[in-house]
Amino acid sequence: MAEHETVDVCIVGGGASGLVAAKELTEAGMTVCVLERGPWYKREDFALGDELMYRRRNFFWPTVELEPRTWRPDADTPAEVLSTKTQTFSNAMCVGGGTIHYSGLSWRFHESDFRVKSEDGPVAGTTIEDWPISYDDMEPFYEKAEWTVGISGQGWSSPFDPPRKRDYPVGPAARNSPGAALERGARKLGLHPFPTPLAILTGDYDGRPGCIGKGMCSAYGCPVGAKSSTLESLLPKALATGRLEIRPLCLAREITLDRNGKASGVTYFNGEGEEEHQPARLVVMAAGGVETARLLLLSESARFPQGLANRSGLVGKNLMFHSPGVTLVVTFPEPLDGHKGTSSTRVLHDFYKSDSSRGFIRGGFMHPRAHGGDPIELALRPIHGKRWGKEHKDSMRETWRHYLHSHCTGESLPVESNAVDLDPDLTDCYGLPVARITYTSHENDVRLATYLGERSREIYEAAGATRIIVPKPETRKLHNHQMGSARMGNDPGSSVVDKWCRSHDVSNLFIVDASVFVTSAGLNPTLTIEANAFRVCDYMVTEARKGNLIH
Amino acid sequence: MSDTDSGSVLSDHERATIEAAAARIVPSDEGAGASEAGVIDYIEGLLAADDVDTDISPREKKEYANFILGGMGGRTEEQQATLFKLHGTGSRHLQAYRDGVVELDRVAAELASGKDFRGLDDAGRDQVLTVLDERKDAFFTLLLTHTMEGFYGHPRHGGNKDRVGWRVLDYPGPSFPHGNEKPYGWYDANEPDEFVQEKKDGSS
Ligand SMILES: Cc1cc2nc3c(=O)[nH]c(=O)nc-3n(C[C@H](O)[C@H](O)[C@H](O)COP(=O)(O)OP(=O)(O)OC[C@H]3O[C@@H](n4cnc5c(N)ncnc54)[C@H](O)[C@@H]3O)c2cc1C
Ligand code: SF4
Repeated sequence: MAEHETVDVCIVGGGASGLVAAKELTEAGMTVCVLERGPWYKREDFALGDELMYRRRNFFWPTVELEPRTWRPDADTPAEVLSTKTQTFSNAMCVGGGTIHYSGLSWRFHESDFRVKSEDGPVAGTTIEDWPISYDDMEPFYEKAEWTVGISGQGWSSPFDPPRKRDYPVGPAARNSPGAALERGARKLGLHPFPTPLAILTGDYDGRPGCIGKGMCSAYGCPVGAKSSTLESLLPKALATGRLEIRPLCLAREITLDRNGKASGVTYFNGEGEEEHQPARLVVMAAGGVETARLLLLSESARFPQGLANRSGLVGKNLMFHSPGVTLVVTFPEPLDGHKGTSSTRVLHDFYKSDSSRGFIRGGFMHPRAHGGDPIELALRPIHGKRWGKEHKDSMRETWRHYLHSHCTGESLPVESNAVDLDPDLTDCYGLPVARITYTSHENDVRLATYLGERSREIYEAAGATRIIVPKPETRKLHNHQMGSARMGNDPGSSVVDKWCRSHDVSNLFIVDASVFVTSAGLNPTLTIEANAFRVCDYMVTEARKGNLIH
Repeated sequence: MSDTDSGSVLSDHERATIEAAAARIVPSDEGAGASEAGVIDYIEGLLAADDVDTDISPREKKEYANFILGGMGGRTEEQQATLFKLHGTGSRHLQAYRDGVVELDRVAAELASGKDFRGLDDAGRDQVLTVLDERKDAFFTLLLTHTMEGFYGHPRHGGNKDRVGWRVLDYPGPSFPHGNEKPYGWYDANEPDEFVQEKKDGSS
């Protein structure tokens, strides 16, 4: 097996969190190697507005044939292989990870999100806890993330926002018609719509141009460089230090240990499918909420028979996907022309605050979206009366310029039996057991999802919609927000990492993706993932300078 | 992939039957339908991809995958064909289509004493397709999906010729590199906007 030269840090996964770490640690003087299982695309690779290639043929996503995953509702039901359709709900595998194709909604979690147990708990059947850190600990790093990654928005425009010291670096995105339609309904009901904070530049910033409103944004890459993916915003800075080596098409298969039980590096398959070993003084896991847990479980040894850093037995457990939020399809009498502009430009947080009198705890929000320009997706939606023929074609004509879809995102409560583990029956193309997901939403999540769907219906009724389709919460899906599978906490018996996201068991192993989330909040996670990665790196650099980390 | 007259994997009868069925799934009216869009060429392109032995080593699979994923400027048609090969898509689908044509003719003969699918008029063809649709026939779903892909998908894959599918929707197609000017739609043009966008100076 080829052995590389030792680096200070080996980072597994070059997505949202991994590239934050790459930038922060190289700028602090460390040598870093990033292993990324996917390719290294450039801006030009996203230029074709091709729904077939990017969306329907797994351009970004691991394919079911090579890297499948399985799913079962509970431990008593046999697992089934997730379909291609569901698989695309995992995140991209490529340099930049999920930030390449995300919609860019960029939230600060609210203060209460860090103390769910104190505010609402305990709740039967859940493992809700307070985070070992508070909003105040995160606040400076949210600001740093907003200004470093490049987030647009209008500070203080939401009456529900947690406190901030500084505005966003650039103003909010141009309002699209779905956003304006939401406002129309929401104002009639006395609600408080406000501009969506987005990882999308609206003017020149940090050497990148503003959005040209071209559509095909969510689930696509940005050919302009306006979307603040970590590929665009952070990677160039890390590369400029000369201390980063990024290795695309390299899949980590095991974290190796030295004689003292410390991480000694990472074994991986290179682009030719051969094994190589990258020795490192520190290992940082950033492979996402499912793959990080899988890799720890794959790294079993005599010292860690249940998987690396898993003395607590909690690696993989308490997985959270957010509540099974419904996607409404809503049509309006006048054209919305949802093929233009970014997807979300106005949102509502009026239903965010926890209120147990509603029959559930915690909350969430709704965001109407421009569809972006995916006619095949519309054609295959079961909303046309008939699936084919003249009636279907006429429905396509009537709907195309007039519809939006509106998402509801809500908190999901952690449940210990919702978990990632290794499938005993199925391996990927490398011969490694695939991630098996056991997941059933807690009742609270389903009630919350239903509630948000109904409130959305009222808003679009008030806005004068001609047709509102509210589906039932879909509990059988893998979601692109994957959190909780290696939770942080002060007690090594009930958590995997400490408040600095350092393994309780292996002192030179850190986890910076959303696996460490204790609870999920009702908001898209990426800005919090990034802010937390900035916070953890700040600690790593301070400790390293004191000589406590790297000897 | 849009080569129609040479090396077809379908017989003339199979090709004509699939084309006729697609033409009922997206019929021509005052606007173009599946026939004008060349949906059949899109479908033939999908079926023409021959397969690799799927029983290859992980190493070989990985090589294929890297070839497919490593592309610059988007995935090329050649890479896409390789992906289909790797997944065995071509032969799986080809068999489904061959069996599907036999089934269309069988149902047609049942409904209209001995005629095949092509021998029926539009109403008769619709009747046959409805039979398949109602019993949730897997081939029918495949054909329907491919027809929508070939009609509404990007023309670079052989269907949606001259963007006729997009014209039906009054959709100008992907806007890059121009992008779109404001206003985007009726509501953002007409609904008052209380959040005036100011350019910020970048200070706090
Ligand atoms: C269509 C869509 C829209 C979204 N919109 C939003 C949004 O608006 N706002 C928001 O906050 N979030 C959004 N998300 C979610 C967002 O993309 C993720 O939350 C985020 O990318 C997670 O960051 P991460 O660092 O944990 O992992 P990722 O960004 O997924 O990065 C992990 C990386 O690790 C790599 N990797 C995995 N295993 C290995 C291995 N064994 N060896 C080497 N590399 C490995 C992966 O290939 C990947 O590149 C969206 C997701 C999708 C699919
Ligand atoms: S809509 Fe704007 S941010 Fe999104 S991909 Fe297009 S140019 Fe980039």
